[in-house]
Amino acid sequence: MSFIKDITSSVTFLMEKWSGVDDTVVAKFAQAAGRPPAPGTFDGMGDLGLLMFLLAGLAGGFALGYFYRGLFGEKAGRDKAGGDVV
Amino acid sequence: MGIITRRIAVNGARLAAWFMLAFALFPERAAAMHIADGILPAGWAGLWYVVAAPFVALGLRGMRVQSARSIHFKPLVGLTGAAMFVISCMPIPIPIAGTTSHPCGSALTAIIVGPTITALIASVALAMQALFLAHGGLTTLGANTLSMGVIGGFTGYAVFHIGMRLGLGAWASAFAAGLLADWATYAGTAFFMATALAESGKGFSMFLALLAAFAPTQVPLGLLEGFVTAGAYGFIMRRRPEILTVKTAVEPV
Repeated sequence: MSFIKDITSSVTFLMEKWSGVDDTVVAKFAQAAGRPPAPGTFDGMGDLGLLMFLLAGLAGGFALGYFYRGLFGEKAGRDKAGGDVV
Repeated sequence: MGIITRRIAVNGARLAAWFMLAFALFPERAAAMHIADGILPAGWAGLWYVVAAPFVALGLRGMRVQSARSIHFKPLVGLTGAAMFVISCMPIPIPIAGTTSHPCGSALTAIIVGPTITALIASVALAMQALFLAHGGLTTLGANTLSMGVIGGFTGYAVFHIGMRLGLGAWASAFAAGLLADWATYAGTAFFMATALAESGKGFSMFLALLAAFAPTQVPLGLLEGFVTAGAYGFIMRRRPEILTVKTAVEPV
């Protein structure tokens, strides 16, 4: 019966609107077990975390576009003007 | 500036703008299967490093061998690596649960480049997220690599090829691979948490409790990951089917 109670109470963790399950599940179980997560690298440093997210989005997006273009952009290694893709 | 260079820059900038917008809209910590620093005791964190290391080493070897065999392989790893990095820190709102979580991209990556290279890619993506985005952690990198890269990657790869051999067809096999790899990843996280944190004799009940807590978010998100995996696989099949045969020289189907 105890694990049914655990399961029921664990589902109530999910009541915080739009929080990630890292906070609503992983962190809460860890805190309950006495091992809360350590602060992140840029926690409490203003907008630095947001800047890092923006840079990661830029880098990830550029890499996706660059390699996508190389692999799928032109058929059979030729561009639309008819020249060979180097 | 040549026409090709200009197109690369325009396409890259366009995609980057979309991802910048997405990240700007959801700037909070959004990791989900990621276990943060401080949660796992040192002994458990070290054990999962040791278990994950051989898979990453095999991935490095596979990368070297396959890059020598095909000029398409490095761009393929670059594309899948960037996709996994972005996908695995992108919070998706799940209205029926009222929370957010992220897909993993492990199944799609494993189908395209193989499971051991998926483990390698996951370790790099997770290390960057831990260093710069407060997602996961460096001490828990072994556990996170195991859940997303190894468990997710091997599950997706195995399910896809079992599905193909059973004659389910590419779309259904890719869908099942995406779905089950996502769920397996979160089950892996639940296992690592339960083994390390539960009181003696309560590991299984904590594991079930964690699965139940993940379920309202991950059941629909797993379905989404299944559709995305099937859609992406179908796109590659139509556009450049030869890409899907690049890896098979080293990792047998």
